[in-house]
Amino acid sequence: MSSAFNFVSHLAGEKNAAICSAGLVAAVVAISAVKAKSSLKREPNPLVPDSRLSLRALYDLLGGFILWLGDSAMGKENRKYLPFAGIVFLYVLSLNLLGLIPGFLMPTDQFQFNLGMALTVFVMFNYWGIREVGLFNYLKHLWGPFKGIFLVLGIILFPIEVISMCVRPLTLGLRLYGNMTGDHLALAVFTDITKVLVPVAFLLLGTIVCFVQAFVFALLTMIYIRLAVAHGEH
Amino acid sequence: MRLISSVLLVAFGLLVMVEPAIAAEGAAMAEHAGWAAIIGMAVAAVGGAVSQSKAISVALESIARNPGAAGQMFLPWLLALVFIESLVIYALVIALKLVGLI
Repeated sequence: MSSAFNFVSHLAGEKNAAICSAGLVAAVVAISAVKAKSSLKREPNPLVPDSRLSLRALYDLLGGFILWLGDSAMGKENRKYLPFAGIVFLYVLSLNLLGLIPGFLMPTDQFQFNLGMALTVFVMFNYWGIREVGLFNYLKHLWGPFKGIFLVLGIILFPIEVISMCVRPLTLGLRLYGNMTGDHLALAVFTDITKVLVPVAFLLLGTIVCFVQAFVFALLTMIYIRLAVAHGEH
Repeated sequence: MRLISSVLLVAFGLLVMVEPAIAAEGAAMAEHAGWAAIIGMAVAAVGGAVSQSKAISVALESIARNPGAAGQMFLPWLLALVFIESLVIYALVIALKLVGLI
């Protein structure tokens, strides 16, 4: 299997391809979001949706979906963290979908890149958790319920909790990376074997995987945030 | 003290003698990496398929009993499927690494 032709690595070099295409996607997402926002301001009645699929309608759809996801995964009381989780979803989704355009490779099939995104999520939810409940309560939460037998059991539970907390960015990055790489490899193998028609099914599968993995990344981000900022009543 | 140091010395000597054998074994392992990838991936796929089918069948049964609860069950169910699936994905990553595809 030869490595596929890639516009970005052709222009920016093999080493910088992932980071350059990520910057390209970030620029596209930012510019389209600003355009959608300004078209929302120009509208006399923004509550009425557009009659056809415009940029604003697309962002309405995505925003509604992100709001539903956030309300069911984080709860209505944590809506102030929704913009972060929402932009994580949009960004990962756009990065994944870039791989479906011929001549581009997705940056999410580089483990280091996913690890960077996952570490951002890790730092943010720890920061919010500590800001919400205080450093001592945050650590106490890892110890388990602070009474009775659990005071002693915490000696065993605390290291386990800390380890499971610290592998969260690793698993978050590795899951996305494994899925995207595996899917891309399956597509490449079946395109090599059968030149016509069968790759279409794998492209369809690839589109579904792109959506599902972005969804899962955002869902896990939201759940980690909810677990971090929860006030324990025990 | 002398006992401990002599034991450590003997252990180190053994390690030095054993080291070439380990290296030879490593070369033999690299030969069988393809088989390791195939068997590991097969076992991971079987485990993932069995556990996911159990999760799906239980979820469908409970939706059939109480269709009103389908909306509430959707996210936890999807999360469980994702956690099962990610274990298979770790096996896939290791298998791809073994055969040198990544």
